[in-house]
Amino acid sequence: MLDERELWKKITAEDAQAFDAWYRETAPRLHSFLRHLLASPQAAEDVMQDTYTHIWRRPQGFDPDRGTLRAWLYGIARKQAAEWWRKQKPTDSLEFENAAPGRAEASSVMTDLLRQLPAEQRSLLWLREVEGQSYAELAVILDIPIGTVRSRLFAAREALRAVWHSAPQGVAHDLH
Amino acid sequence: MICTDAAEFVSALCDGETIPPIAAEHIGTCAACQSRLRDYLNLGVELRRAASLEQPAPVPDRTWTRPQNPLTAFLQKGWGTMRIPRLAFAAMIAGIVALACTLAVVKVGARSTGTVVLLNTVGPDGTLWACPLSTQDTNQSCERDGKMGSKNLAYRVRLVSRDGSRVLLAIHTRTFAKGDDLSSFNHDSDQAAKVTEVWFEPGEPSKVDVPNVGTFTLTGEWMDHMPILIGSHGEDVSPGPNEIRIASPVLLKDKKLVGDFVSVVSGVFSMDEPDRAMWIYQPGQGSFLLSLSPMKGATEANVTFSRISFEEGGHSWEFVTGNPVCRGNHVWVLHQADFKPARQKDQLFIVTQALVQTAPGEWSPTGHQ
Repeated sequence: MLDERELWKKITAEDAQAFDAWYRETAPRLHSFLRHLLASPQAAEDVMQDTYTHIWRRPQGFDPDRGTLRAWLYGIARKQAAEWWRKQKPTDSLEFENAAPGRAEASSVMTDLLRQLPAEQRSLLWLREVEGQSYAELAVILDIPIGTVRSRLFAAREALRAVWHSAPQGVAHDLH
Repeated sequence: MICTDAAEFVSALCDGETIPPIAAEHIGTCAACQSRLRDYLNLGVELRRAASLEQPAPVPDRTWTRPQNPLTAFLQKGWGTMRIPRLAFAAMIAGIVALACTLAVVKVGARSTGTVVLLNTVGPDGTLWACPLSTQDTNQSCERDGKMGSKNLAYRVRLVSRDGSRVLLAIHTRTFAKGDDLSSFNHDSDQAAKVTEVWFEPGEPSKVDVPNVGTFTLTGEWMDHMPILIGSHGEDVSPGPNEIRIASPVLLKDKKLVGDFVSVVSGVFSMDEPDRAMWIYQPGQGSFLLSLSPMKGATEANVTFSRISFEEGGHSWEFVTGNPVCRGNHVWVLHQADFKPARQKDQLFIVTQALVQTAPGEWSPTGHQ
């Protein structure tokens, strides 16, 4: 496993093989994150590809002293996702399509609850709880001070808890 | 410590953070906080479980090539096959660049989109002062008192008129001896003020000398909205263009408190997706959907900084929150007085609700159209 700085040196030197390996390693989880942020799996796929294309073409944007490569990747993906939302016309149907293939039914309760939150809170909870990103990484991804990460995470958890409590009986099954 | 104060530390505990002893002590003995902690942990577990159930999407094959910049390729080819003296060609390029830069400067200088000038003034007393002035309401002005040597100085800046990308400002100044009673002083009725008029172009810093008073340094920029400023340096806390922002709101019905949401939102709840509404539920009062998009059957509510006021069902309603709500003066409120959530506990909540467009310029919450 290459050290992050070493890997990035190779990528900036146009080492397509190193970049492809990193893409294959990180893309599935990034895709999963984007599926919960955007309205359809296709949109998630498009935004993910745009994210890697952007990074491949402009690798100089990464500064190892400012944060991890993973945080930078998710930060760019989040901005690309925001751009995708901005480009949607108000008349477009933005209903979420069933995002998770395969065992969709089993995961749909929590997925549905999550979709009731604003995009930023969805991102925060996913990145913290599923991706296990640290406060420092979240600060880089969301472009906010570390101190703000804690309060926003709290607000996001409270919102999800409220949604869960307000869900119809039988939909929000007992988590205890 | 009370639960509201401890709640954020409960969340921090879930993240493996250490918390202050007083908060830890409270959480250890408080059943409500422990219940919240269990909920947070369980929701985290459930999120990870749901994520684990999703099958990873296949990673499409990609070929990674960096296209050569077409301009670079063209220049390289052109340089290699050039038929005129290269020095002359370089001089011509330099001339074109210089001309283009001049045009760019002219273009930037003429940029005047917006109806508000955010003026940053440093007065003779040396203090920085942010002053937003609207070109559409010239009755507005900014006023300030300061010290100037052994005297006191009162000054006011007013926007008189606009001419393209520049504005005519009037600076009213009045000095007072130390010890003068200023309690009854009013700029509007002051006939003795010195008035200095100056043309100011946002983006171009300028200095204004007022005889016997001193120098004012003006900088500024055009804005598309009237900013809401806090702090001595005028930090803009305006919500975004499509944002609705709510912090620890209370609900008043006919001027009486009927709901306090501090236990739900002790931070800031923000939403800026155009196809969603903020959904607030208060047991006994029903649900309220707030949106910047006009909803079918909704009431247009007035927004004044942190207050949302409207009349509905023969009652006056008011949400009072801890921060500016939105940039405009109106939001749409859809009140469903008899709404009851099918829930385990009938408790207040603030979440968001998806909207669908049902007609041109008309939206409805999902499932209500």
